[in-house]
Amino acid sequence: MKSKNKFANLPLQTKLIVVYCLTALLILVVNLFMYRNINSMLHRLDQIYVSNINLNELSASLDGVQNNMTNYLNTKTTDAMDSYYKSCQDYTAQTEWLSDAVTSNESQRMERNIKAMSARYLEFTDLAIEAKRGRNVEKYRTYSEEATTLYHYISTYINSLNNEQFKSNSANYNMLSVSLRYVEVVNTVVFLAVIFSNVLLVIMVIRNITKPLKSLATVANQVAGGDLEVAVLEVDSQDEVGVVSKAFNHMIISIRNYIEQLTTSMENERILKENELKMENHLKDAQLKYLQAQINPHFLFNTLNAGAQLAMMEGADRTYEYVQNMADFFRYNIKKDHDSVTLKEELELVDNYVYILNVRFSGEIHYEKDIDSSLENLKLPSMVLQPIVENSVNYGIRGISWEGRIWLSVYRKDGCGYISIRDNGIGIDGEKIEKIMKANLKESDISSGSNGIGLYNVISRLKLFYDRDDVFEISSQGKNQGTQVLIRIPL
Amino acid sequence: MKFIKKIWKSINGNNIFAVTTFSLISLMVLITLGGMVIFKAQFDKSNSVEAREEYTEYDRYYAMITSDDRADFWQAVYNGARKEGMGENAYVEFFAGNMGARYSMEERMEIAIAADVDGIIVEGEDYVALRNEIVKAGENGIPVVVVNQDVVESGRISFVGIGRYDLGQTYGRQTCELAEEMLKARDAENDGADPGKKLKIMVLISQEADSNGQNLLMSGIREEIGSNRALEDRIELDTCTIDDSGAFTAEESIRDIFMGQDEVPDILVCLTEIYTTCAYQAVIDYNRVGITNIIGYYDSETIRAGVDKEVIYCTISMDTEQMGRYCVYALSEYLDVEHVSEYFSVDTYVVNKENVDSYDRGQDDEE
Repeated sequence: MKSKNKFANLPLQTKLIVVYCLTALLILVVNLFMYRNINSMLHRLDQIYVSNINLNELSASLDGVQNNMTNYLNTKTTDAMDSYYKSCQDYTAQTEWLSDAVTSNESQRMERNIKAMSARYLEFTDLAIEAKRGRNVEKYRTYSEEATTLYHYISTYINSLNNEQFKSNSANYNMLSVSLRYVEVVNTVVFLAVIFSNVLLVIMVIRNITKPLKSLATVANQVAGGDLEVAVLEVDSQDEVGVVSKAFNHMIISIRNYIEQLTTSMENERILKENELKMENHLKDAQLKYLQAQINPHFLFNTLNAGAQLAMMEGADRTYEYVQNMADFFRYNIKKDHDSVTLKEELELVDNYVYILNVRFSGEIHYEKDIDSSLENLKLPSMVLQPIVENSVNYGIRGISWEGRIWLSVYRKDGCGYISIRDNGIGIDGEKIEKIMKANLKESDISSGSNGIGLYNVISRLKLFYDRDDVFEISSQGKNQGTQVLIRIPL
Repeated sequence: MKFIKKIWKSINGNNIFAVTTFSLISLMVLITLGGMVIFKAQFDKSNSVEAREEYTEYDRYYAMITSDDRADFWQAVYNGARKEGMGENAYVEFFAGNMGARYSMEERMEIAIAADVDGIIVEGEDYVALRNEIVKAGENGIPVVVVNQDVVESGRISFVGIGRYDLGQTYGRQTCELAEEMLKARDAENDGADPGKKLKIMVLISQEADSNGQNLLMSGIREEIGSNRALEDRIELDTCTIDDSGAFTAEESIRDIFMGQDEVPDILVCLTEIYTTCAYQAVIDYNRVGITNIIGYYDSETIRAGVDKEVIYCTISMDTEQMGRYCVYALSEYLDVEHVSEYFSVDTYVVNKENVDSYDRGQDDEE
């Protein structure tokens, strides 16, 4: 394990270099082995015909001695004598390596015979030369004849030996060439086997190196695909891949922690926002309640005042109806403390109000209505129409010289329900309309006892209720052209 | 040890990577070592063939020179000589017999003298050139043993063979025996009324061979036959000179006997192995089996077959191996003590129908 760890802890570069060097070394060793095999075989091949070459040289040398002797005997020159002695020396040197033992081997015996005959031959040639120098004609002829006879015998002997050796050398050569082929096969087999093993080794080591990289890639892909719930990579090496894998593991864990934190903080934020919204709602609710509460005593005071005047001027019947209407009106107010009411209820309230006003202002107000009964059940915030009608009365038709009229119509158009309250009063200029819409009325614009703030309250509530801005619209054609308030209710 | 322990630990630790790596490297090492072993074996094998074997070394070197090294007779003599030589640490060789050129006996003698051999065994033939070479060898201090036939006044240290006169007597005895048998058979046919024609006996003698030896041999034959009174008037002894000057001429001369003459001889006495073999074949070819009988020389396989088939009446042979042994013994003895007996007599024996089987075996054993 320790050795594996040692390898595993090496840097990637070193690992690859180690693998390369190891395989290269193995191949080198095998190559050296094969080189050595073939080299020794070639060396042997070189050696095979050495004996033949030597014998050929010996034969040539013998020819040299004979020729030089003949030459000297013919010419008797100093040069010829020098050449003769030189060739004698050569020949003697060459016969040195010949075996002089008598053995059961024919070649060795032949060598011995050649050696012995050569010695005798050289004796005769020397004698012939000596006799020639001594001008002993008869002797030098005899000796040279003897020498020549021996020369022929030795030549034949050398040729025979050469032949013999050639035969056995050829046999050896055949044997060796068979061996060489054999070695070739062995070398090829060894080389192929080693290359195959080497490839296996390289594949294995490279796989071992790239395995963590592959698993890292797989896991990285999973992570890239959004799956953060991957198993943590096993890291048992200290190389670059190991380092990257560890860093990756840390990264995954960090991302997971971060996401968890993020989720927690988002949840907190959501709860906080929800609370905020609730608070806002409560506030609005409170505001609404407050505004509604603001209306009641103000109106109650006026109506009660009117009721008292009526009671003074007329008999009980009309007082009764008046009180009845007023009672309905208050009942509505008391009862409708909740958020939404039906259009029908609101219209009834308007009817009560108009009646009370007509009682109060001696039937000055001509009120007409045109209702699409299918829209009577529309939901809308309470105490909306009455303040508008009140505004029409207070700011539109009060104090005009002509007959004041109020038209209330409910109709359907473009998928929306419309409530239109129109008067033929003094009208209202655009600047004022904008101020009303933006709740920007100054104190001076609001005459005492007016209900201006009440109109803004209505607009605010309608906007809040329907959660849209275009729910309320005031329009006027100009001075003394009347005013129209249009409420657009989405169906 | 530490390394092995480490590996063992790895294997135990199921470390597949380490185990496989180790196995692969081991495999490669094993393959390479295997290759080396195979190569070494092959190399040694070819080496052992090539290298000079452990040859036996000898102290002495004897040259054997004969007229026909390949003949069965001389091969047998050589075998005997070689065996004896091995015992005495001497190597005997058919000298200069296996050369590019074909040399005559005297040339081979000359080469042997030049090669300074320790001793020479030469087939004796009585002619001047050979005698001179024997003399020359003596002058160079090389002892010469003459075999089969003596060369007189040559200074040879010893002669190994059969006395020509003795051999002639043996021939004569066998011839008488055969002649008696044949005459007896002829008499039986004629009821003894007419002795009829004389029995014709022909001795085949060589034109080339020395007259001395042949004369001695012939006188041996004549002596023996002459001493037999019963045959005195009934046989006619004749000689025929065979021309063996050139190659293949002997065979032609023998065939001429069967073709050219009016009367083909009743008994042919052959004095050499080659004459015997040729006569044997001629008798068969000319349909003379049972009419012409042969008394042969030497017991080669062919001649023994002839004896077995009764084409050859008998053959006179000698202990060739003993002959070879004596030669080497004589040389070694002379070299050791500078003196040796001048004459070694070789045992002769007659091979005929009765004993041919036993000689058959004997000969085979020796071979």
